[in-house]
This record gives sequence, C-alpha cells and structure tokens, in this order.
Amino acid sequence: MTVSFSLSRPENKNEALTNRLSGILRQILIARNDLAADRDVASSTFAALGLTSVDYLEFILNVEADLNIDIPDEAMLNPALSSVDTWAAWLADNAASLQTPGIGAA
Amino acid sequence: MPAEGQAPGTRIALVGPREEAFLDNVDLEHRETMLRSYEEICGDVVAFGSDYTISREFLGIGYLAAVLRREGHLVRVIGANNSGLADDVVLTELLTFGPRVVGISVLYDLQLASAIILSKRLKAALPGVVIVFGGPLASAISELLLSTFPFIDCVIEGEGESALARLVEAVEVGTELGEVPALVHRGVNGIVRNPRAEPLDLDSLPHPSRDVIEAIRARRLPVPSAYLTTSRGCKAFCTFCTVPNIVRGMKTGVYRMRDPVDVVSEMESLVRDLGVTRFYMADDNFLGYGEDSNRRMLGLADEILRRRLRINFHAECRVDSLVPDTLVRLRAAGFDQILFGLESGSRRTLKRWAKGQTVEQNEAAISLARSLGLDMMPSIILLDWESDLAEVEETIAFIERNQLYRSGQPLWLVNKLKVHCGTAASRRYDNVHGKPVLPAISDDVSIRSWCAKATYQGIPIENAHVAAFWGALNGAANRWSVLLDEIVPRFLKAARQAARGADKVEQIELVRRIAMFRRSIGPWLVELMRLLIAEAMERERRCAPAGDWRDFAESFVAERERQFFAGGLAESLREHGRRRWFGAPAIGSGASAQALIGQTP
Repeated sequence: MTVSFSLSRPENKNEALTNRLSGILRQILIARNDLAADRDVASSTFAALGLTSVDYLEFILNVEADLNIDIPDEAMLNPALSSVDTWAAWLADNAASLQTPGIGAA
Repeated sequence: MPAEGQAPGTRIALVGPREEAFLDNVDLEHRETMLRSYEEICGDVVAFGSDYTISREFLGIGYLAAVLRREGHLVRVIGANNSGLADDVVLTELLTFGPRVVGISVLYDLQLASAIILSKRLKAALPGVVIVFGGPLASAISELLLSTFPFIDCVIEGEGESALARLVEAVEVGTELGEVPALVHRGVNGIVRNPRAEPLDLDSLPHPSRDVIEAIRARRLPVPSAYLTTSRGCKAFCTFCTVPNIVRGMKTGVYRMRDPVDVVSEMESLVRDLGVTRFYMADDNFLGYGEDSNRRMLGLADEILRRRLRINFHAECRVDSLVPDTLVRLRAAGFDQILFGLESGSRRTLKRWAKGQTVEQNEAAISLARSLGLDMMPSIILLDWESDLAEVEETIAFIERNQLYRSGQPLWLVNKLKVHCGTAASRRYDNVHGKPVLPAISDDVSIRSWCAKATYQGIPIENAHVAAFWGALNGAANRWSVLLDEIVPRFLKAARQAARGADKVEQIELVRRIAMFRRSIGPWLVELMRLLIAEAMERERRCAPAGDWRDFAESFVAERERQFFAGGLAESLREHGRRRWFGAPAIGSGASAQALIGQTP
C-alpha cells in the first residue's frame, strides 16, 4: 500500500515520516507482545528496543512496501541509522534519489 | 620518537590470533563455532540492526601499538579473527613484514592452539624473531607455555604496555631481560618470573591505535562499534573470572579510572575521523564503585551531552553498582544497552561463585533497567560441573519470573560455566580432581589436544541427572542456534533480494513468520527447561538412574517448528527457495551444523 502525502516543509515531512515509521515499528513490537511498544519508539535506538536482525528486516520490508521504495543495502547496513528518527531523516534527505512516490509526493 | 635522521625503531608485529572451536567437545555450544570474520558477517544481509555492529577489535593490542608507536617503533597489527585470516596468510604477512619482535595476545581458550601453532611455524621460518605471548590466558599459564613450547621466548603477565616497551628496548640493545617488569622468561637456572611494575596511570597512555577499524573502512564495510575502556580492573573476586588473576598481588590500582573528559575526547575523534556511531564499553565493570565512580559517570554523561555527540553505547555492569539518577543521565547521553552479570538465580550458586551479589539485587536491577528503557542483556551461567538440580531449578524459576527468555538472544541462557585457567574455579577443579594430565606434543594435532586438556574443555558434570538435563537442553539450543545463525540468514538474504523492485507481500509474510518463530524460541526454551528439570528431579527423588532426553528434546524442537512451518523450518525454507529463488543455497551445509544437528546437506 502506498499512501502519498503532501508536505512542503522538510521538518513536517520528517515528522510525518517519523509517525509512519513509528507506526510500522510499533506494530512489530505489539506482534511480539513487547513492553517496548509503550515506549517512545521514534527516538529509542533499535538496540534499546531489543530488535533482532529478523525484526529489523521485517521493519525495513514494511517501510519499503509502505513507501513503495527500495532501500539500498548500504543504508540498511549503516549503523548510524539506528532509530526511527534517523531513518526518517535519511529517507527525507534521499527522497529524490530513491524516486519515492510515497515521500513528499503532491 | 627517533630524532630526525635517526634510523626508525624496531619492527614489531602484534597479532590477535584466529579462534578455533574445540569440535571434539561433546558439550560444544554452537555459538562457539560461529567464528566468522566481520566481512562475512556483513555479507549476510541478515546482519543488520543491532546484531552485526560488534567487530572483534583487539583493544589490548591497540593500546600496545599506540605505546610502541609513540616510542618510534614500526608496528604492524594483525587481527586474524576479525579479518578472517587463515594461519598461512598471517604467517606470510609476518614474514613479509620481517619483525624483530612478535607479540601474540591470547585472551582465551579458543585462540590458544592457533597462537601456538603459528608461533611454531614462525620460529622455524624466522629463527631470530623474539616471540612474546600476553593476555589473560597466557598470563595464567605462562610457566606451562615456556616449559612446553621452546619456540615461545617469553610471556608478559598482566598489563602489557610498559612491559612490552621495555622488552623491545632490551632486545634492541641486547641487554638482560631481568629488568623487564612482569616478564616470565628462561634464565640460566630455569624459568624466571620478574616482578610486576606499579599499575599504570591510565591517563598517561595514548589513545589506542585503531588499525582494525581503519582496515574495515578501507574495505568499505560498515563501521563497527568501537571498543573503548573507561576503566581497568574489578574489585570483585568471582571464581570463574580471569580478572582477579590479572590484578593479583596489586596493593593499589585494582580498579583504575580514566579522566572522563579524555574518554569523550577519544570518542569524539573516533566519530569525527572514523565515522564511529556506536561504542562497546569493554570495562570489566563500567559503572565502577562508590562515589568517585558515580561522579566520573556523571562527568562522562555531561561531557557527551555538552559536545552534542550523537552516539550510543553498550556497557557491562555489576548489578550492585547502579545509581538510578546516574543511569538516567547516561541514558540521555546514549547509553541504550546494558549487560548485567546476573549469572544465577540461586543463592547457593552465587555464593559458591563468590559473586558478591544477591538474587534480590539481580531482580531490582532488571526492573530498574527496564523502567529506564534500556535493553537489558542478561548474562546467565545456568550451571557448572558441581551444580545440583535444586540450584539449576532455582535459576530456571528466576529466568521464568523475570522473563529473561524474552531478551533478543534467549539461547545465551543455555550456558555452562567455563573453567578458565588461572581462576579460582580452576584451582577448585584441580583440588578436587587433580590437574589435567597433558598429552605429549608431537605434531599440530597433539598441540590441539594439549590445548583442550590445558584449558579444561569437556570436563564432565558430576551429577548424572544434571548432566542428562544439560545434554538434552544444549542439543535443543544447538538446533535452534544452527537454524538462526546458519540457515535463516541465507533465506532472509534471498527474501531481501526477491523483494527488491517487486511485490513484497509474499516476502513480508515469510519474514514475519520467521520473526514470529524466532520470538517464540525464548518461551519454548524455558518451557523445555521446565519439562527437563521436572523430569530430572522426579528421577532423582525416586533414586532412578539418569535418563537420556536428547530424543525428547529433539522432538520438542521439531514439533514447535511445525507450528510455524509444517515441514520444519529448514525444509519449508528450502521448498520456498526452490519455488521462489532458483538455485537457493543448500541448507545446513556447514560442517559445524552437520556435527551439531546431524543434518545431511
């Protein structure tokens, strides 16, 4: 499913992305009946949330499906992208190169 | 530094030897066989998220290299395990470099055989080289190494920085070795042990060299977590730990701290120069002891925040060192994952291991860490060779009560105490059973056998019921571990590729199912523990002989797998691969996987 949204200001775009990514991650945490779902999943690192590599792949695939994009492996392996916040910022910064209809589309 | 125009210093190679598992050990734990290089780990696309960022950087060697370079020497660092270097490659690299001194750091048992065999070959090829061993394991068996292996010239015990620098000086000018502190060497009348020097002032040391991270960056791999120490030593005397042997005999400086401002300066330079974003605090007890340590921790947190470093870090801590307000401040500075040495939920066991903490303290620490939003990694040692069933049952109840099986790595709960050389546990074992009888040395095979014996591999559990419990549980854990570490990653990688540029629904469904399976392993594991311990206790109560529940455990694992994958996980994935990805990799083809689960590829 691809949901487009129209946002003119970068900070709003980031905020909207953060909310969408947080929603995806929260669903994964709820599915594993994890108390961490109650936390601030946007700013907590994946390490703090106890995400395993399989959880992480589930998150990434869902983000790709939701935004209708393909994320390059280099980004997936980038340890600096360690939370929803950092991912949202990265996606916003790289929206053009990702040719992402789901990010910032009018 | 040498003056201008002066010849450069001595060539010194520092080696972190390759690890190799003791495959003959009937109690082998599968994770010991997963000795992959950082490049291999990154090659698996499964290796993302929090799992992969830990390299095996040898911080001890990094400190040695920095000190020697400061004195003008030419130093080559070879991290054999981290780089996945075979012994032949290491040897060729050493011969090409042509060192005058080679230091080999032997931290623990898995490195010993490769270190010894490498030394033998190096000495044969380069007879004039001085080979010096160091590190916790070498320190613990220094005399044994020198009396058994003539190609090892000397061993440095304990802290190595000033000792190695003095040794190099002595080699350069050809003076006696008697003045080199902490050196164990051969004298005219046998083996000589030089007195140790005063503990080092940690703030006088240069920041460690980062050859390993630089090499990783040069290969364009993701930058791993950087190891960092903010302190050295530990005031506890846990019987299983090698640290007490390192600080043995010290009148002062058993626990020493660095200036937190300098620690943050080191972090900042790693962020700026090498792109590091995550740190692995390698302190024995990061939080330290008492008010001095607490002030230092607050200073560390404040300095990280003041410099606006966007980093996160993992640290290992004792549960009796926690100060809630300090943890809150550290959390704000990026502390997100805490490893507690809980060890046991049995009072008797904690006392036998001289852990110096209580079950109640363990439980309070778990609650506190969770309430602060820290990922809590529990370190548990389920049993040792002396454990009885009641002790093991108490720890299982502790695991259940505190839901430790819900951690990201539940299989780490299946852990038998290793008897490390030089520990109180090894002295206890020797007192009860006598020192291990070591085989004669003739070839590399016998060196490996010697290493296995010398490092207490496969020592039997005394209580037959506990042994039966352990055999069945470890077999089940090995099966799950093989699935998660060797089989699932290949299919996740294939799923990732198949999802690229395509409809992702099928792949998401597969990954979701694997994720659910993975999350279920913790609860299944503790269910199996409970079933096995109940059966073992019942048999003991009836004075019946110990059972053999390995088949039962295997069936338990297979049945749980079928709840998610009708034909079993491996077969279902293979079938999925046949349909989706022509030429999908064979399953369970690794030698260790076959050995552990008896699976035909």
